[in-house]
Amino acid sequence: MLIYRIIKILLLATISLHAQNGGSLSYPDARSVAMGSQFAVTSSGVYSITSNPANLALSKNQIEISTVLPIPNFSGSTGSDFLNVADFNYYFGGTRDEYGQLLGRYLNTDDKNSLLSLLNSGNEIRTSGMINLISISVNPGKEIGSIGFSVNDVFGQKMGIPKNFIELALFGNEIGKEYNFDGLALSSSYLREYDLSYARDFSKLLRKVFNKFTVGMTLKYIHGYAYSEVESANTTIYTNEDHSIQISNDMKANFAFSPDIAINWNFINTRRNSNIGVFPSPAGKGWGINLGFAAELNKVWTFGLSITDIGNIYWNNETVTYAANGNVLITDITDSELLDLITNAIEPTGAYSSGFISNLPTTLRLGATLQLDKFIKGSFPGEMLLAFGYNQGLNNSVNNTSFPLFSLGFEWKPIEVIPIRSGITIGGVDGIGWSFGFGIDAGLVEFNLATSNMSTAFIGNDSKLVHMVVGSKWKF
Amino acid sequence: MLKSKYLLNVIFTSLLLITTSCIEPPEQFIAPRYDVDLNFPVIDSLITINDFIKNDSNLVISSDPEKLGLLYYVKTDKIESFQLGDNLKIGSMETSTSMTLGSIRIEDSPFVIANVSISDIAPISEGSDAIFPPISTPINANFEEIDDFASADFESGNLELTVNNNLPVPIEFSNIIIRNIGDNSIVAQFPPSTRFVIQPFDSSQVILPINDEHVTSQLKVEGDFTTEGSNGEIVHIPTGAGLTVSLRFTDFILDRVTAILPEQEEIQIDSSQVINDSTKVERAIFEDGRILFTVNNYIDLDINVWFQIDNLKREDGSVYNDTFVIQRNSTYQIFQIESLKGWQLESDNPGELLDELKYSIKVSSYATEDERTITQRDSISVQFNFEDAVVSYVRGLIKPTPFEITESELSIDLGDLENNFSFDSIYINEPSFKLAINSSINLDVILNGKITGISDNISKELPILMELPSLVNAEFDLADYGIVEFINSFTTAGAIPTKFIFSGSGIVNPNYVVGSVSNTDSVFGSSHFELPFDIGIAGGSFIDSLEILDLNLTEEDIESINSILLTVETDNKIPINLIMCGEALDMDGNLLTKIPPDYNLSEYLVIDPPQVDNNGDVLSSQLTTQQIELRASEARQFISSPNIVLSLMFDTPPLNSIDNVKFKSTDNVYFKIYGTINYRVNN
Repeated sequence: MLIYRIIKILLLATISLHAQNGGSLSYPDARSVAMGSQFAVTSSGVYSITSNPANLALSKNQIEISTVLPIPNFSGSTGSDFLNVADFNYYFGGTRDEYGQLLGRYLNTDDKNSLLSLLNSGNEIRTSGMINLISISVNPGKEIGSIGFSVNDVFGQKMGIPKNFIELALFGNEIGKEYNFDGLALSSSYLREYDLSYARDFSKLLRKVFNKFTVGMTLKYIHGYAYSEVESANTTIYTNEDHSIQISNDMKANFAFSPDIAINWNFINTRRNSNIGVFPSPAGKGWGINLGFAAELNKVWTFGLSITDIGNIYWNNETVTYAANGNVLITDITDSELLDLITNAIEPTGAYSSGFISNLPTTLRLGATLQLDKFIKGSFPGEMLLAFGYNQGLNNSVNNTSFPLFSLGFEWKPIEVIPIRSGITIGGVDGIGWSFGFGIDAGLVEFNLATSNMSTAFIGNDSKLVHMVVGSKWKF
Repeated sequence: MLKSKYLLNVIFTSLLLITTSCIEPPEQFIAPRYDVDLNFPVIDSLITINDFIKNDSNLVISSDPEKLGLLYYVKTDKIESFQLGDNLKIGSMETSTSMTLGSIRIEDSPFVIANVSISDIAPISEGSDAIFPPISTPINANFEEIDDFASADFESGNLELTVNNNLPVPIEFSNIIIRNIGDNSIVAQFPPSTRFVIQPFDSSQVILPINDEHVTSQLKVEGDFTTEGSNGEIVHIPTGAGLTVSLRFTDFILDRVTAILPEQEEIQIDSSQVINDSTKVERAIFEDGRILFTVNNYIDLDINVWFQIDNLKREDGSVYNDTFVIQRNSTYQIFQIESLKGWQLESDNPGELLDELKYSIKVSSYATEDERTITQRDSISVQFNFEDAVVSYVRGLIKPTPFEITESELSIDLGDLENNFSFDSIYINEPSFKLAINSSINLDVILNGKITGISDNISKELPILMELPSLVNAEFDLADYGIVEFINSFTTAGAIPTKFIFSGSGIVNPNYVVGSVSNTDSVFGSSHFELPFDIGIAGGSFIDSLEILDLNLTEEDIESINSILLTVETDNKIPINLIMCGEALDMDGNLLTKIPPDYNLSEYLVIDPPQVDNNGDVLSSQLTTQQIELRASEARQFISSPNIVLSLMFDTPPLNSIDNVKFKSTDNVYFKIYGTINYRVNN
């Protein structure tokens, strides 16, 4: 009963707060996600290339390979911090009329107020995903060090809708009220990473402290295929007593798309057709690094520290900026000169730009594990690893958040082949979350499945996040 | 084992929960519907009368301190220049002259000879010595053929006959007859008393007048030869002994001749033609015109006609003359001066007025190389015609010359008012119409003109008779001709003249005095119309369809409109009372809804007039605020209507009068319209 009470509390918490998405980018490492996204200490083998390359040198396997077979390594999530599925259904699922025809739901004042109140808790809708196309790690021995290589496609989208925006749309422009669109976010990106890692055992350096101490680094070469961001959206609308409308607008958005996508911008006259292949021409290129440290104090305690995605991408191939700027008082809609001014002030004007830089989702990751079954003196059913983690996003790029994520998780192996994993997270993008997953270790091949929002399975449409991680790897 | 089963159950359940999940996304994304109030401004505008006239150069503002700011409709149009042009002309002239050949000239007539040998006279051989016996015998001998003509009819003349006696004895030759060989007709017959008694080797000559005789080129002589002989003495008979008869014609006048002819005597005529026009010219320069010469040559000779008009001078000032060659027996030979442009008629002496043209004709013939037959009566006729003789300049006594005034139009552009504006009556205070006239004619001109005023349904004429001194530059105020009453005769009848036409005719030099004028001399100028907006209007109305602002609304947008509430605020400083209402019509002109609809407090929008003083000047503005409510169907009909007809009724204050008020450029009305639309989103 206690468990049910705990679960109920967790569910209530997740209902009232948000689902969990792993602090920053969710790597397709189902083991780490299931334990609460403890990537710094829980990633291993090929999965450590992207999260803590130092763990490569701790791998028990000489060679690991992950690819699309037998199960592709994929992490995908979508969710909102203010709208759950039930809300979404209510407002956007429509109602049937007397003839059975599906119509948009009519919102009365109470409905509109309810919808507006949802925005008190947040205003973001996010989608992110990562597909590991191939990863290889080789661990020939301490003297040589460990080497890893992986190719990943990463995509993400973040939409932040200011409450005033919704209020204006629902209730119209109330006299004497200012509507401010500050905080409007419409970001997206699609990247391909080519990662090369090297890790080595430096236990001799800290022999007096740790049994083992490894250091690793991943060099990332990145092709950017698509990117968009609202750089600024300082727009206010104010309606005066005489119904004249004051608009102050300062908006700027950057775009970059692969020339192969061939976006037909409204400021170019020629019409282009897209021609997208497996390796499109990048719109931007960048470099990044992951730095990692791993230490094993004894058979019970291990520690990990990594800083991932240090770097940026320089978008300079057919980059476009749309901007609008101006202050205008609308007093007369029949005045064509004024209408021109309004158009100039509101309507963004696009042009090719010299380029811009976007940051990678740089994140500091700390973690520690406790091998509980060895820590407790006495018999313990199977093996249990407890993990504590802290992820701190260092910027607010598309797949990142500067909200810190604290997590506590475990991996329990009542039998060797089926590890069960779960965890609790606090913070990050999604607030409080309950993660869960398991694996099947068949020796040569290992399968893993996880979600960072296990509450979805219980609360159904009250969930605000859907997240799934699957993967497999070959071990030699 | 139990543990393993338990774990497997947990895993299976978890997997099931994770993979199937319990979320139910909507089967279809449909945006919700809701009503929203949108507050928006429509118009916020201070409309001054000055705004209206920005694009109309005909509306001007008075700078007269006494009428400062008063609006005027001012229209100035050019009066079409009316030049004398082709009206300045010299009447056509035509003259014909005929002349006969008169005397006929042939080559000088040499003697023709007829020889009578000794053997025709006596049986004696020439070159011998013998006794010449007495003989009396007729003689008949042919003359050599006359080369000078084949035949000739002698009207008069002399036949000179010489007889040479080449015999050694005296002879007598009598009863002499000259005959044409052909028909044996007698050309000349010497009287019986005419006897040639000729000593040996001597000669004798006689002249015989001939009249009306026909002579051929082959003649013969007849006569009686008598001699006493040598009286028995032997005489020497020389070689060639006999008689030689020589004949020629002298001092003759031929009536007709067939011959190879030499040049005939030149024929000359000097004459004149009266200019058949009242204009007497000292000097005239032609702008256009031509002269046609028609020559008929009834003579069987090629002739050369030389023609000269003494007072007609070419562009270079030389007197006109010309020579035409006419073939024999050619009629209707036409020669012409194609263009007289630049030619002049000029009297012989300065100040002298030319009323006739002097001309000379000389006709000469060419010698022939073959036989021709001509008579004294053969003739030549020459006719010349002045045609279309238009002059560019003339000095002299110019006849009164009429001309038509080119119609000049002055249109008053009332724009939409012309068709959509009506009124019971209007009083216009002091309209003005002036004509500025310039005349470059150095003679007096009388303009017998008229102003035709035209409105939609009324057309009236105002006669205007103006005497223009030479080279005048003056302004004529048509108020003196009654233009004010003329214009108000329209407005009091409910019409506004929208067009004035100046037309009529004129006469140059009505007093028929000496002067000069050119065809480029003209009368020109401008008309200037001023209509002060110092007017009183009673019962004015204006109906117009409004240009619908394209809001790019779809039918769904329109159906989504629940209601519209418009607030209209006006602050009027234009001295006019305005009552407005509208009708939204469908494509076929059927009424959709009235604006404002019936459920509003008033069916009209009223803009009250400001207070005005006795002079018609605005004293203070008048504020009016009204609301128009358009409920769902009316709002949609209003928004979707393709045609909105606006009816305006207006009067100048005070109402029910036509006391004039002044419309000034600074008069204005402040319009502020704003509204709230209740709109169903995603309807």
